[in-house]
Amino acid sequence: MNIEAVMTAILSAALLSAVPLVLASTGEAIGERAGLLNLGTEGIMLVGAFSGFWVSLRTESLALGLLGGAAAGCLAGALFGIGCVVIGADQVLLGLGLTLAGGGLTAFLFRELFGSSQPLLPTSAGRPFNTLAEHLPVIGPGVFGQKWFFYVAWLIVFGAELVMRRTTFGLRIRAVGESPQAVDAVGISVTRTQCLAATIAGCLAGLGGAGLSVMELGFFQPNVTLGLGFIAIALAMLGRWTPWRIAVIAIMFGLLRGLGSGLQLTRWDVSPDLLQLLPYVGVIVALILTGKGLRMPSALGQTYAQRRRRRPATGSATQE
Amino acid sequence: MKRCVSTVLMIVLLAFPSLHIAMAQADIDRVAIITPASRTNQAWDQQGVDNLTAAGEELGIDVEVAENAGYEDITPILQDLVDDGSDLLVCHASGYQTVCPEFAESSGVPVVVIENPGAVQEGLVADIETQAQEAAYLAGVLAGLETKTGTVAIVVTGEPPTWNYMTVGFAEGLHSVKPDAKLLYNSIGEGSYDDAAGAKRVTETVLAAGADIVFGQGDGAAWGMIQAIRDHNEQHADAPAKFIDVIGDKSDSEAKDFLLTSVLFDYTATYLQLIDDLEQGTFGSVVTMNVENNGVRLLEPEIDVSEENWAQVQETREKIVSGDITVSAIGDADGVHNRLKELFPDS
Amino acid sequence: MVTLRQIRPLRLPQRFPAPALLDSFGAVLIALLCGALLLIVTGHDPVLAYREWVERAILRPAGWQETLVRATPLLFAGLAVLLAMRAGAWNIGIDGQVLTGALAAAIAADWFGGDHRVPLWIIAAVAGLVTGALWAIIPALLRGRYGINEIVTTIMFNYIAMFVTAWLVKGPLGDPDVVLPQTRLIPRDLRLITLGDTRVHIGLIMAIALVLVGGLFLNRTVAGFELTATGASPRAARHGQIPTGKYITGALIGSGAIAALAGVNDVLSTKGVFQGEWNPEYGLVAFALVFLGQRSIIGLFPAALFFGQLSYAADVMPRAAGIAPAFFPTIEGALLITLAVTVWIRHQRGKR
Repeated sequence: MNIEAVMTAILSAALLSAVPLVLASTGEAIGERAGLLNLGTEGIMLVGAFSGFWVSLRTESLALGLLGGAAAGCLAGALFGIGCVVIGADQVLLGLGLTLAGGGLTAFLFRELFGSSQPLLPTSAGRPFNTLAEHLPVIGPGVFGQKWFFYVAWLIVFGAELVMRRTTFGLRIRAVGESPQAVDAVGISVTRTQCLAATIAGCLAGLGGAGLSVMELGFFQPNVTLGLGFIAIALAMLGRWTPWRIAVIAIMFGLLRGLGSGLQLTRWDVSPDLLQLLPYVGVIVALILTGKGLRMPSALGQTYAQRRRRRPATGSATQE
Repeated sequence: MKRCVSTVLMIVLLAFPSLHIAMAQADIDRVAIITPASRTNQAWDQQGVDNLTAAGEELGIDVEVAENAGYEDITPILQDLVDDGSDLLVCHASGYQTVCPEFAESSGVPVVVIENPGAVQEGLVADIETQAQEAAYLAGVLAGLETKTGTVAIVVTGEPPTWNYMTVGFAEGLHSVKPDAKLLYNSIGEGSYDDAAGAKRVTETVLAAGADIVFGQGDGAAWGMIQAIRDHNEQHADAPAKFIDVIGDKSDSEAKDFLLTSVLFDYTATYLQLIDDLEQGTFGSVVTMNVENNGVRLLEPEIDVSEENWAQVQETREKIVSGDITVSAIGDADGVHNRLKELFPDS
Repeated sequence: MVTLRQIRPLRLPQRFPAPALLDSFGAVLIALLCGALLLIVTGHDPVLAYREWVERAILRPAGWQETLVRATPLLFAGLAVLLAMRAGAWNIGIDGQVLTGALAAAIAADWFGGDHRVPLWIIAAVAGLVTGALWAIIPALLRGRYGINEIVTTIMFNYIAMFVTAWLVKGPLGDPDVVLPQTRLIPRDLRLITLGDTRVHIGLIMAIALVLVGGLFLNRTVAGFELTATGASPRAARHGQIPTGKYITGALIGSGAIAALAGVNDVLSTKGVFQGEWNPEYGLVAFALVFLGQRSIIGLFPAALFFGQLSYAADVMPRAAGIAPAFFPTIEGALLITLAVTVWIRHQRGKR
């Protein structure tokens, strides 16, 4: 067996499958930094996946499909933001509702539109760096042989890291999650910042979903994400809401999953079920090793007690 | 006078068997099928539904479909179907093999189960045994003859008995024509019937490991395998990989360019026979689908396969029918692992 | 010294949530309306669909009986979620606890064997409770001692439970005489007895009893009150010398144990076995129903009933109405969203 080829395939698949995860997770992290715990990520990913797929099918353009998915995600994220921040809805409740509604609606519409047929998108897409792939074994094709969206996605994550770390906007988002009164007192609209953060989070989750259906799979099926949204939430916390850390963790998660498949091909006689455990046990171990002293954004809607609506600078905004 | 009338009646009935059947047929107006997943998944569930629908059309009988029933207790669904007038219930999942006989006993409505011959009861419970391993053996033979790289992969979405039987059959068939082949076996995950993303990843891995024929057992997830092969073939147009499907016929889809064959499950004739049994009063036995009665068979390839190879497959089929070849029937996961190790110790 | 009386927790859960439950009722109506709209827009007949729903899932004896049967495990799961929530923790690991508890109960029942029902139930229940508690221990300790977020850990343990129980039931714990991966069948006469002529079994009585006991604990004991205070305002509670860490850990462990009872219930009644591919996924529904019941003990009853009804309706209505089963998660989502939004209406009303 060609070990090199297998390792390349595992690496390539791990990196590609990490894309929807890291996009959604980064989005969730941005939202949580702003104090919004969005359990609706799974639903938003599905909405993005379905929209992206449908647009791609209609326009015969993968790029437009991805944009469509992102747009749908933006919309959903904005609705979540407005719901929580302006209307004062309970974040957990609204998020769970989004997950159920998103999953149900996309499955329902898919059945209505396509019935028992399974349309597929063309799998070919440009691979801009393919020529570089030859130069390094394993890492070469794994990293450089990917389709173009792969690089766009990682660029976006990199951009998110920059924005959160270096820009005023990023600072505002983080401040709103830590101490809304302080932001309020300075005269910055807490509402606007949070809604924007929620929209961005939704956008990224939608793009992640579209990435899955349009780029990675080339088709949509009801519940195609199979819990990826919840894993994204978990990784956002594990990665301390920092995009670069999340990126590393997502890659490791993907690699551990691939390792499970790869090990099945060896002579080692372990049950496939136990091998599937690797990534999940890995997360727990990582948490135990690094999780102590994990400081969450102070105003993250964690307890069931609802966060008060932030009112503009009348001085009466309260925090729990 | 009475004796005269009954004699005449007897003569009439004997002379006109169709009348007899017509009288019996009045009993069966509606049959129902219960499937765990969606009837549109182009696989296990859809096949059962489509076949029963076809049988129903032929006989002029109504067919009710209760899909997405999952693995919860389906007793109330069964009751609901009976309340709606179903005379026969087809429980189309091995996970239903306990609850359906129990329902038949308590309600008196006959049921059909799969893979549970011990549950058979006269007039109440019939069992369908699918000797899919026989057809899978033929698929293995074809794979062994067609592989250019010498590496063949089996990718499964979990290890339920239905898949396990076919895995072993396939491996034995492959071994019979190419004992030095490299057989790769990979399970995507427990119950991963819909994990298309996982299926794509795993298929990519086995393709990278050199497999040029993939025997894929999955429902919705099979499309992930198909996409992986499509992708691969675009990148390696000189050495394309081929796919062997199970249960259904995907030759109208984008997979047609590389669909070598499929281990088809055709329940239509079986359903017709079961309904007939019920009408005749002989219901309640084990009905087998095998290569002899074409209940399971190989889809004829639409892509290029040499005449000799296909002829050899047909010969093998004859040998199975005649009993010269017996294919092992191993349904449990551990048994599968052990048998694969026996056949291909170096894989 | 600051006593608890001086600190006002921000939001105590409602003990008599009658007005709030009206909100829930209204939200249900709105969700059903949304469903009807969806059907109209996609060219289906909502009147037909809803009529089939009422007839099959409510009016027929099979309907209301099955609703009660389905509501039973949901009562356990809902109580589990509520218990953790009162302490300020999220037990997302319900699914995993249900699976491990169910497997433990199946094995214990099989091992115990014999002819006597009640001891068998007790053994099975204890096995389930212990296993569920054990399954929640690591996330609980990580949260209670180190503040490590339990959402992440419990989600991971769900997946781990899926694979581990599958592996166990395929191998060492499975019935060797049956090809399908499942435990040995518990004979019908040893299972939870049914009430009268119906399909409803005494698991329902036990669930109701447990919820009432839970209510007594949470609302009438000191421990319960301190637990609630922990959740309502951890800082204030700590000021009041309440060992919040211990309460959170305890609540999560207790939550896991109770969730496991949902699995025990299913194995001892409707399933009779633990099957490798079974995963009822009560977790998400449990959260939904706790919110529908306005996070109160009393509210658990109508909410569990409603979601039990939805579960059964989803099995029989789509076929009769010719629509996709995904209709039901859609209206469940609409329900939660509506519930979330009605909070605003309350605020507006409250301000006047």
